[in-house]
Amino acid sequence: MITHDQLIAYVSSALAPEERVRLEEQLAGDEAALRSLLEQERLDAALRMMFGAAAEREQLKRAILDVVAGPSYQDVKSSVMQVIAAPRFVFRDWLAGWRGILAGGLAVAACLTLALWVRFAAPLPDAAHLANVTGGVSIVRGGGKQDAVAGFVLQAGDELRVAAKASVAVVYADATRLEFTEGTRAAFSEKPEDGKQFELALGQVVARVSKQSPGKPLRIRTPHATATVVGTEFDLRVSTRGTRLNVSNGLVQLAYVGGDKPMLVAAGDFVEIAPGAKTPVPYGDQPRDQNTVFLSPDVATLTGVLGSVSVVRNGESQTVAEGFTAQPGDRFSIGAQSEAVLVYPDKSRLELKPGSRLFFHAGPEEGKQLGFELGTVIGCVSKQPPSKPLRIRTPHATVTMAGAVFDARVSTRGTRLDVSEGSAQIAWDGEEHSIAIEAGQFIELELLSNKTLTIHRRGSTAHPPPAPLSGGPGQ
Amino acid sequence: MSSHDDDKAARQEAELVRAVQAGDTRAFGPLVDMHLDHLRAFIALKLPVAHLVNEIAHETFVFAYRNIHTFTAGTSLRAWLRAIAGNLVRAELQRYAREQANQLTYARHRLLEQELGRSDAHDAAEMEFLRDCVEELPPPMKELLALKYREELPTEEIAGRLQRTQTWVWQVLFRLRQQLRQCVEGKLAKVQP
Repeated sequence: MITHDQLIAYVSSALAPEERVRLEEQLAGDEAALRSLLEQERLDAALRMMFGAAAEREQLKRAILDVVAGPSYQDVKSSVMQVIAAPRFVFRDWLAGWRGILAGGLAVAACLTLALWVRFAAPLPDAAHLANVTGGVSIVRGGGKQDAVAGFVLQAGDELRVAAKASVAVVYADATRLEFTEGTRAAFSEKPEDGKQFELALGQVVARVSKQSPGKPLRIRTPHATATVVGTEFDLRVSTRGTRLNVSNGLVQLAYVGGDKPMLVAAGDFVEIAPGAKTPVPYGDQPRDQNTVFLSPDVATLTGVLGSVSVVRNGESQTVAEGFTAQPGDRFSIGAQSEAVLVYPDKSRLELKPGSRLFFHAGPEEGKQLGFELGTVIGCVSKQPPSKPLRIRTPHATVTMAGAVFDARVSTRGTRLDVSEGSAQIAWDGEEHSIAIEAGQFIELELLSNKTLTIHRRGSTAHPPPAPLSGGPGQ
Repeated sequence: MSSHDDDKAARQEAELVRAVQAGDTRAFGPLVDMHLDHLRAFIALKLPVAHLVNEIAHETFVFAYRNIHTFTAGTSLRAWLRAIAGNLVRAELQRYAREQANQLTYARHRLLEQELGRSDAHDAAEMEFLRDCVEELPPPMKELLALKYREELPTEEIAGRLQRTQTWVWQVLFRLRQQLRQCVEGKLAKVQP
């Protein structure tokens, strides 16, 4: 018999873990106590919603409206398929056709528009203004220099100068905040049609960037590189020794001046670019030289969200949107009519289908490691270092691959893996048994009622000896 | 709210629905505002799993938006949203039970499924009555609920502010929820004999 006080302690999370487990065993057989517990939980949840924090409500509302105003399911799907399967678009070829003539006309029109815009320079598109002005901060406008004060509205072409021991924040209407520290020189050259842009010639900016329209990212040009941001937090410093980018949240695309391949810098990583650097150094174990580059290839970012995607991090659930960066321990849950796309800096891509549950196991030093608990994942895995293949653990097997296009499905009945390009290794029974699956093959590990696995492969019904399954569901 | 206000709100809602059906995405924002709080509380009563409430609310609105052309403007959007959310809760409960196959989960699942069998009218009334019952509480109790649910303070801090022990806070919150349950049931019994 469960006492009233025990129930209060249980609801209040005041029981020791072993007492909690013991009480839960009792609760399963005590319907009256369980009903009372459920009533407490229902009321607790309803009151939480009724009184709930306005910020959480607004976040949820924004998440709903982001989807409503975002691309359709078909758009997202076709863009994913384009990246995975379509031939690369070649601008030169495109320009050579009749579209080139049209493009030429459009370019002339754009130049005319630009000329008109330059003639009638206007305030910045989001009405950016200055805040937290400390010390000597000045604005150079039209050849004249004036002291800056809080509330000062910036215009295109303004140059911001921050003296020693001074600082200032530039705040946009969408809550994007740029904090400039001493010694900064930043020229705001943005045009309404191009989104937020400025040149950081010297100094430091700590930025917290709200989500920008996909076609209008924030761009920061330094003498050494261009950083492109859709929505994230980072710190960018420019000195005569180079440019240093430190990303604390989200993902920033960074292109070297003169380089042809932009790189993605993920949360927790930094990049230093020395003057004159021309060749991006790929991630990996390269020694740090004058072009020090350190990129984690194993931190995935959400780049496409359709419907509802939530992540449980440190025991707390949050609805997530594009730009969210996965951390070890994160548990992704895709809603019943939702989809999501996760992309790694090395362009490996995972498309999570409705109802999928995915768990991020490891830190960057251990390679890409995922727990795939339920649902369907379509993946396109770029070539991985041999010592760090992508590893996916399902309740029934472990899949390892160093580069492949695959489709994995996990249900309570088993795990199925289809490989359409490259190859994968699938192991089961504590990794005692394993098989290589080549392009065009599939394997299905089916969990039988007696908790053994049976195996089906394309073109064959011959099964290896059934192996007892340890640790599978239902045990 | 008077019946005049109700009529006005219903007309406004129907206009917004028609605007969304005509392609005006912006009109969906006010509709979310009108029903979000109610829907979250409704889902919380059906499926008291904190991290699923917002997920299902999100999915409900997205589904409603994508299928708004099938909705008849002028009928109850709230009832339609509740029906969508109810289906999603049902699907989630089944999945939850499949994934967490232990005895306690099974027993919980069975009881929660009984909740799903209740009528929409019952659910709507339950929400309204819960709001009324909270309003009827004496001010110190309302303050306790606000500290717990609005400010989301840890028990230790609530106890400190009210100059009580943590055990007192746990016990009073437990009893308050019981009291609110009884209050809601009493009101339900009066209108649904």
